[in-house]
Amino acid sequence: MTSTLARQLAVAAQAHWPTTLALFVFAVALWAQTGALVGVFYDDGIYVTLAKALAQGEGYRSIHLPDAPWAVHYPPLYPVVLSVLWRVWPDFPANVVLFQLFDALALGSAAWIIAVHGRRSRLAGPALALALVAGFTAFPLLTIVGVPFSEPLFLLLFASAVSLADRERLGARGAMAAGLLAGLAMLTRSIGLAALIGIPISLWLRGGRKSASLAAAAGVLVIVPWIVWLSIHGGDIDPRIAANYGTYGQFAGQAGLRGMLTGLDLGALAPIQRLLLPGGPWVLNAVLTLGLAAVLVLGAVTLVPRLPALLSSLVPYLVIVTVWPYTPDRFVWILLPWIAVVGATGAARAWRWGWHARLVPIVIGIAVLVWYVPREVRSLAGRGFALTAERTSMPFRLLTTAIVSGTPDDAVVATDGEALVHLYTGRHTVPLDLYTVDGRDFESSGPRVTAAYFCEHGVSHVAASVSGSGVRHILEPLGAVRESTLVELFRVTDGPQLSQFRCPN
Amino acid sequence: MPQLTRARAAWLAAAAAAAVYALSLRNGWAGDDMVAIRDNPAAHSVRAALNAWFDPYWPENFRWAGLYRPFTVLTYGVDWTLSGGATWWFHAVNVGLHALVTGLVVLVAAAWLPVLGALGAGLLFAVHPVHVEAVANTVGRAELLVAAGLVLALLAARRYRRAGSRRQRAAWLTVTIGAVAFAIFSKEQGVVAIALIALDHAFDRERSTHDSVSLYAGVAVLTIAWLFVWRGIAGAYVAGAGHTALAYLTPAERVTTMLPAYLEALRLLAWPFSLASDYSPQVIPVRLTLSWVGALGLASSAASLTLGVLLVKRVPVVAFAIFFAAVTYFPTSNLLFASGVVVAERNLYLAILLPALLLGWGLAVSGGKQYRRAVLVGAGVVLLAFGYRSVERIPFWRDAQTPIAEERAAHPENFQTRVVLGRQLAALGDSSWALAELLVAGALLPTDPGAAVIATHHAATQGRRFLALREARRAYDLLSDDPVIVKQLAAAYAELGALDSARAVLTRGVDAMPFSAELLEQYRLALSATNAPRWRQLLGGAQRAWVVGDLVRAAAQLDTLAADVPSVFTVADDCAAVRRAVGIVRALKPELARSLEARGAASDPRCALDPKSLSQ
Repeated sequence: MTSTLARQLAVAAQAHWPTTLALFVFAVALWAQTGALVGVFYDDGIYVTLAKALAQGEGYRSIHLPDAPWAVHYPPLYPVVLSVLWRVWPDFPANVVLFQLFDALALGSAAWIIAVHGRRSRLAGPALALALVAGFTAFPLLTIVGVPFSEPLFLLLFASAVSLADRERLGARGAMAAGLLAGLAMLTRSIGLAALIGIPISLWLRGGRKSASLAAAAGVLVIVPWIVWLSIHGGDIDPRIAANYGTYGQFAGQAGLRGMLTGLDLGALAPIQRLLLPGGPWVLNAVLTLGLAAVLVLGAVTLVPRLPALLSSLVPYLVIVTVWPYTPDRFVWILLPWIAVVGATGAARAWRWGWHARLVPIVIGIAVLVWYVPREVRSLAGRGFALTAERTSMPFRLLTTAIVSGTPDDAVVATDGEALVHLYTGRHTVPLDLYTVDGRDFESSGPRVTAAYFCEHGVSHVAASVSGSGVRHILEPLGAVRESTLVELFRVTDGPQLSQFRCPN
Repeated sequence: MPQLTRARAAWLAAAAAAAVYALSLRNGWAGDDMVAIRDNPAAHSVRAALNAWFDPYWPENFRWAGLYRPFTVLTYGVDWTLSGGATWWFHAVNVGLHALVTGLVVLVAAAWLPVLGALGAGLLFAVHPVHVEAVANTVGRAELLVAAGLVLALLAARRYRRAGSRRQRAAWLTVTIGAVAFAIFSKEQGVVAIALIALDHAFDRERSTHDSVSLYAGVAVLTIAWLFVWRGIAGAYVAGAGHTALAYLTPAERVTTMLPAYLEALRLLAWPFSLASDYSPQVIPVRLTLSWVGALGLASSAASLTLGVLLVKRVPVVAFAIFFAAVTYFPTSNLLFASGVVVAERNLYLAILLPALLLGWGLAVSGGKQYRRAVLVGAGVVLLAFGYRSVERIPFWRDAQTPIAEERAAHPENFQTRVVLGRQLAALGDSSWALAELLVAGALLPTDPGAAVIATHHAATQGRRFLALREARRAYDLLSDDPVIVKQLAAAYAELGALDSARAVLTRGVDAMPFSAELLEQYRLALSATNAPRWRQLLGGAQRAWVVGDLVRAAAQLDTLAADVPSVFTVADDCAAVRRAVGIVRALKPELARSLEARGAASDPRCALDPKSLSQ
């Protein structure tokens, strides 16, 4: 009886380790959730504000801004999902629990799909499982999983699309489903475009021209409404806030070609190197970086025939991350489970080539063991991955409570976390720091442009979660426009501050 | 005579359950019914119940209990909508649910026992007197629902393991997970579903047609997700709001207190003639060290589990029953965490499967033996006696007063009953008797400050100011870091005109709980009442404004007081007040903090502010 169950469990553990992994990742993702305020990483606040707008029947608008413009920067799928959950439980911030639960479910499901798909890599089961556990519990990934970001849903859709496309017998329906999922991935994060490019290419290279066309058509069909939406409403965004609220086209237009060309320094891959390898003398650093790159490239080359859709999607993904003038880290962390699989595959391949080749993975392994593993252990033991979000929350907790008690309901607040402040205070908000993009640099718009924007939008208060150097470049010039422009209501040393704003004219 | 089949046995046992409990339809609201149903707006319509789906089970003032049972509340909403709040309907639904669970228990038992044995098990489950609290008292609904969900999940999981086609598997998987969801959203005890399914799987003699990974994964995901949502809703109270008697104990002391309770639980399964609606001290006293009765409880619990292990192969039905009872009792055993009860008969609802299956097994093994007749007669006597005791016990729950009055008569040593009676009497306007009961409660459990807090209130209401002070002092000595208790003691002193003592108590309270807004407000009022200098009142006001997050007001008050601070402090209290608030002053007005520090140093070297407090 009991031995039968034990035997069944042992067999099940071998045959069904992806399910065990998925459960583990689901539980870890729930454990990784922080008590931080929604909006501490900016985008999370915007997603939830958009969800609130949809749930309240106000349309896909940035309702925290006084003129509530149509949203064109963030693709809509994740806010739509959150809006359904918001309708189920309309009590914010209590309902964040549901958002967190959804994210954890999405990540756990993604883990299962990646594990099942990863079996095609022909890595030994324990090695693949270990690589995926390492990837899914990596502290940078847990940091972004701990707040309502669209990454878990994106990973689920992206992984579903490529794993479906990598099936050996893929009929017309399968190809269309893969394209559809890739399109949904793009509706979650715009970089899902990589799958929309990669999947048809991989199918084409496998000789399935019809499948490739069907996948591409299905994917394009899914994103067409969003493209139409962008073409209609894209121009409505005030150029002074276009860097944050405009379309990616507007952003690229501001950045110019220089922004793209400068990105070709391959800095996009630096987060992996910085995460896994120690610093030190440049020679050592260069040798280790080359070794790591060799292992990853070898792994990628090995996997091309086994996981063609995945690799042909990851390549455009990394190309976009490389040239696009954004900080690449967040885009890379969500790929860590796959990067771990690629690395493990490369190491396994090198191992089979004899002791000379084995030296490379051994040295990289030692470097990772010495540098990365202790940091990872410390982070997991002390929940270090959550510290950034929780520390950023602290001044906002003071600030939002102070805004609620110290400003009228119809106040319009210019602040550095406009979505967060709106969510927790109900006040209309505008961004405090107006800037444009030039190349890969951000240029502040200057006090007169800022003051004019504030006056046009009825700003009555200026709030910053930090005082000192973080906002001095904005507030001091703004206060200097005219003596009574900013009247300080309070300022916490090294903490938040709130001032009354009066139009200079 | 028609042949006795499993289905007929299930119907027979269910009918017996319904017949025994039919009398409960005459009961009204009793015990916790008033708070949880009668006076709870969420329980008065389906829409209200759905709107409250993500709220804790108890209404606003009782949320410290940390419970989350939205499906149970929904059933109340349905009942109220259908009956307009008629109590007989609520009781009828409870009786129906008990009959349903009884029928399902027969089906569970039938996996090991012949039909007659399963029927015997079902009949004992139907009439066991321990069930009266769960069935005849409306709020026992949660026990009935969770039991129905768990037993249904267990049976559905069996069908899943035997399902041949993919479609059948999907159907039984859905039913199993649905039943677990039903259980888990009815009562927290539903988290044991995965353990019960695994237990039944381990004892299952029939071969499975496939593995059960999907089933366990599905139940595990549901359970983990529910635990996460529960934590989000009940917050800090999850598994933290222990029974009053257990609340202030260390884990070791909690276990030494609970060991005799395990003996009591075993006694209730076997000999349920002496019943109580509450087993608070001194019915089961707090024991801070291992006692002989505790050792006996430990030995009997260990012996039961050992017996279960020894019987796994020889008498699997009995082993299964022992482990089943242990698993279902575990969440309220106070072993790993403190729960809301020491022992409650309603929490033993599913554990009754142990004596039920024992009886069924006894009937089964006696088949064809010479002593068959004796066993049948014995079983009949037990069933009749249990049934009689149940029927006799049902009116105990007929209204709000009876359980308290009868319990006080039966267990005068129960402190909790005295507290509840005191509250009821106070609500009825008999403040003197209420006070007497509360004073006795305080004497019965001198380590609990709760009775003293309520007694203080009633003594003050009756103008018995010295008694109020004595009780407030007693509560304060037991728990000085509770704002309510500090406020009460200060108020008691103030009533006697000892304003300085009141201020001293509040000052100590503010020092101990610098983030309690209500205490800071009381402190500010005390400063005003004792004519403290204006700048001190402003400082107190700024402290309070900071704590409630009104930083604009805090900054404005500090600006005002800056012009009002004397150049030298004259009393030690001034220094202490500045020291207390200097962290806030430094955060908002660093220059003012420096100025205060300089004045403190100029006043008296002992008044110099602690650099550590400045850096806070």
